[in-house]
Amino acid sequence: MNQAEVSQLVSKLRIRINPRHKNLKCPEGPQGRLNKLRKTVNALFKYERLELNYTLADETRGYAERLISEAIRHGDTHKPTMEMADYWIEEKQLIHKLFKVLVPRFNDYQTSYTMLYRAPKAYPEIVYPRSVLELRGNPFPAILPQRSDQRNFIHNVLLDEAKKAYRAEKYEEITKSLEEQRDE
Amino acid sequence: MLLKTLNFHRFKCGFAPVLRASRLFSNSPPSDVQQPSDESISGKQVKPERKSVVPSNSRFIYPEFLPDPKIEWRNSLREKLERMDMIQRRKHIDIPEFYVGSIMAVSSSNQHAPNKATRFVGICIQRLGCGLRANFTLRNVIKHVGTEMKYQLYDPTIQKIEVLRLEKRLDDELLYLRDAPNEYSTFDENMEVEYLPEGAPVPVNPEMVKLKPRPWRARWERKNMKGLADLGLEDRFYERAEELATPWEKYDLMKQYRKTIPEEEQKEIFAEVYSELHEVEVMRKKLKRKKVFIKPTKNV
Amino acid sequence: MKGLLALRRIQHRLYTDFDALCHMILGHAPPPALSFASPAETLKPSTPALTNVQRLFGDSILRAVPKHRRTIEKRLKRKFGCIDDFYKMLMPRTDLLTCNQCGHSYQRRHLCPNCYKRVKDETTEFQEVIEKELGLEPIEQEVVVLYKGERTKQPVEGHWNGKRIIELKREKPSWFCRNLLQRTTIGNSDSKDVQPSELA
Repeated sequence: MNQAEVSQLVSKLRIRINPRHKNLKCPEGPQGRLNKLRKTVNALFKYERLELNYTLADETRGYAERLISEAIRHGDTHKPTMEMADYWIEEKQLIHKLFKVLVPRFNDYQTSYTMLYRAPKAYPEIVYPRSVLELRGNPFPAILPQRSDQRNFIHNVLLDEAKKAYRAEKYEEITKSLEEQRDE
Repeated sequence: MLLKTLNFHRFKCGFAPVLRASRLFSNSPPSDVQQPSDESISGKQVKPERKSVVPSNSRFIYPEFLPDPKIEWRNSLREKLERMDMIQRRKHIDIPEFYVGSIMAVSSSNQHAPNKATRFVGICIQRLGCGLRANFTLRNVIKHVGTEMKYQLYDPTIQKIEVLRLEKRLDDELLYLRDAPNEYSTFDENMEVEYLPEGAPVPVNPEMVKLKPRPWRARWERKNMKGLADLGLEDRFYERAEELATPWEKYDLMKQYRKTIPEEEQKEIFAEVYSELHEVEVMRKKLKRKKVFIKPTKNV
Repeated sequence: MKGLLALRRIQHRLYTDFDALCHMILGHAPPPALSFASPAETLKPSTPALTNVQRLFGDSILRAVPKHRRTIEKRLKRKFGCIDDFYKMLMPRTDLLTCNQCGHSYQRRHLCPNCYKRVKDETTEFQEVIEKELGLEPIEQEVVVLYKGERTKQPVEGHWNGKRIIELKREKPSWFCRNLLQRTTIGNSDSKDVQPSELA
């Protein structure tokens, strides 16, 4: 049984955290795993939307969110955060992007900073489950359709009224025929 | 009901203060007021937060209230019940604030002892466990024999826990004292309590321990202990230690996260627990200050 | 020489008839446990074929261990189901749904392949353009990619303030509309019943 570490405070992540990390099958071992994740986090910050295998995407999501939450929490004057950003981000123009673009974008977010979707299976070529990992607020077209309230579109409103009118007419006819039958 | 009395508000992302110049591991006295930031990074005007009553260093004083960070073993109901039991026990006995490196005296019940109690004085070398299973190990050298006693913090057979000298050391665990000469672990059994001024930060003892020559119980050259003086080993030991070292671990953000309880959860836990603990503390201070009336006895 | 030959004969007899040797030494028949695998014995012709039961219980030691290799036919029958031996019901797939937007089938909890393909192609174009434009300079502003003619068509002045604009030389595709009431690239019909002007 372990005691929680108290020397550092971390912000809560708003994504699902698996109890154990995934090894990611690296010949160099744990260091190789971190190298692989570093490259993916780099690519995520650069391209803002990636298509990759599900396990790698799930792992990088945690690291990307942690990096952004640390940047939001401590800002760019905090030395350990800068060292962390320096280690994780290889292309140095993206460190500017993290602190000057992503931090203000995500500062007031109540939700997670990334989205992870399960991509359609590219059967039979690719066997491993694919996924799409993206940063929220990216400039690309939305992946999921924007569900708006379609009830209030003009054609839907008119159709509803037409339906109501039709039904009212039908009821009148039925009542008339019933009355006529009763009279007879 | 605790939450209502404290008027505790959940921090929103945008209102969280940006701790730019703060020390991560503060030795400073508890700050009752969390300074709100008037402007967040994006330049928007932010509402000033309400003052929170819970001190920010509760996690150092009461670390066993934080649950085990292992996700598979978390159970909010069990944790709540444990916390209730811990508070109940603390009402009967004073469990003081202590750290690894503090010198303590524990009186526990023993039916075979003359006073039905045994007292053990020693330096705290390790602190493990969380919840009701929190424990600490005291080490002392008695009659040239190094002795260690492991006590459960919430053991009902413990009668008294005193902190004779409250201080911290450079490491979180002092297990290397087992390989150090006995002078480093010897403490007088009749030692008196050393008082610190109220509100003062906990002093850090920068003592560097010089170990006995090898063999040791662990490979101390591989453990990065800050409280050890030069080990005096050949180069091959240090080279092997370098080969086995994992310098990338300090950058592993998710590993860090899985070992810690996030700040929001910590705040919730201490908000739930703090008011009762504070009440108990205040009561104890009052009792200490009260003048004790000693009934006069006849001297024949 | 004669002595050697005699020794040879004895050796041969020893090898061929260990039982006789035991008889000589012990004075009675050798115990049944003692069985000497002599080279002569191993060259004897094979015993007649035994039945399954005899083979199973012949050793008098039965271990719960496979006796024969499972043939590929049996394995495949077990795996894919065989009506007579290993019946495996075909279960219907209930996780295939129809996309409300395009009508293609997609897996439940996954993205629709048709819709996603459109988005993916558009996204890769955007990403190439952005990478070319920005290069290795430090990125300090949000990036926005606009289609032909979108820059000027904004209700509020200074809508793009503080953002880096990258323009594409194409018209906006018809499916890419956040608000379906916005102007599309498909031209309006000739009928003059309802004009969707000024609705965007």
